[in-house]
Amino acid sequence: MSSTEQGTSSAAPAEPTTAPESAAAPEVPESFYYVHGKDKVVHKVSAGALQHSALIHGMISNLGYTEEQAKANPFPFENIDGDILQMVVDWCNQHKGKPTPPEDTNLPKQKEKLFDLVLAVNYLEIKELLTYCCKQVAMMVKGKSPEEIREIWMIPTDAEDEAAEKEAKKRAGKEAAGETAAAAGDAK
Amino acid sequence: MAEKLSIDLVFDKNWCDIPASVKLKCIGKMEFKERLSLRCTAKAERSLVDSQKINFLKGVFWGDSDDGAVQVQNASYWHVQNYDKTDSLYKVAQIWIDKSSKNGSIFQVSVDKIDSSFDEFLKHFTDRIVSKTKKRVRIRTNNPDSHILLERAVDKGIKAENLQFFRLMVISSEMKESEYDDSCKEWVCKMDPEVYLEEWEHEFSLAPYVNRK
Repeated sequence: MSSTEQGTSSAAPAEPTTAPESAAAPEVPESFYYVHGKDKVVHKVSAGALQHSALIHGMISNLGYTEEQAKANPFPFENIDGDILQMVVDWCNQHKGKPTPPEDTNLPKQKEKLFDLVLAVNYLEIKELLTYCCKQVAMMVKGKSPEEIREIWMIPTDAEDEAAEKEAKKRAGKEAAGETAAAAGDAK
Repeated sequence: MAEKLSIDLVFDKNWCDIPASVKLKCIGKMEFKERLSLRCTAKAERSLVDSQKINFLKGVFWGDSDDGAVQVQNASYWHVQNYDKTDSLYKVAQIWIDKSSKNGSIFQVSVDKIDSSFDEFLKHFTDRIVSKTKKRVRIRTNNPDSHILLERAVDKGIKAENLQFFRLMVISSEMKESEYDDSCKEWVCKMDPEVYLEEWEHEFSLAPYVNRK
């Protein structure tokens, strides 16, 4: 699914990316809401699917958004990449109204995507998906040594951390000295 | 350079970008070995790993891992093989006393033959001793319902010349001496079945003849 093909601006969410599963002929009309990420591609998601996200669910309940208002004002998640939001929306749709399975094998295996997904899911407060993601993160270092973990997750050593801290302090000191000098110059 | 930095910020998320609350969830999904590895990577990770308890059903440690031993306090059963210090018995008993551990908690350890763990235990708990023999010591805990029983494995069948085996248990204070298990074979085998190997081999070689009868 290419986001560029389906993308619309947040002001005109006329062509939603995700076709609702229940669009065929729902007996009870379902409400839909709209979300977009950093790429402004709008995703149409059913209220049932959005139940997974405590954050969005809370926004809907607290703001008392009607469907019309929601259509005109998609929930903006500027801090989430478009492809990541797409993954989240797909997962919510797949697990709408279903008990969540103990394992989810469809999660991304690449480190960068997985951490992006973890951050997004944590922000959106999707408890079950976060549990799967955390398990996947833990699996990344299964059987690995401290050195390997440090390499895979780019964890700086204590020495590197201390050096970076010293450098930051030095920089902050220089900046403060510069500001003081500038202020003294102004006073003159 | 600035462009590259912004790209990194967008796409290159890593462990260090994850909030501590989520890191803790991930650590919660790790097994003990991975947690130990992670805590060796940096100070910050070490304190995160140490802030979480591990729920062990069973734990096995070898003698030189005293760091791990400190972490395994809430296991219902665990043992340490070939421990090279004399402090394990009284330290574990003290932890159990401090934490009011449940009846049924068991810790087993094998130490050098000339090791003084048993005497150290006696010295440490002189004022708590309920009963004492060469093979067993029973002490009071702060909980009137529980005692701690230390047993030394005494069995001619044990073929380990350089080792002695101990079992420490939290028992009901109402347990009678007649209820003690005099056979240590089962619990010693749980730690190190090889010390009975010759006997096993002998029994195995006799088995066809026994069956023929």
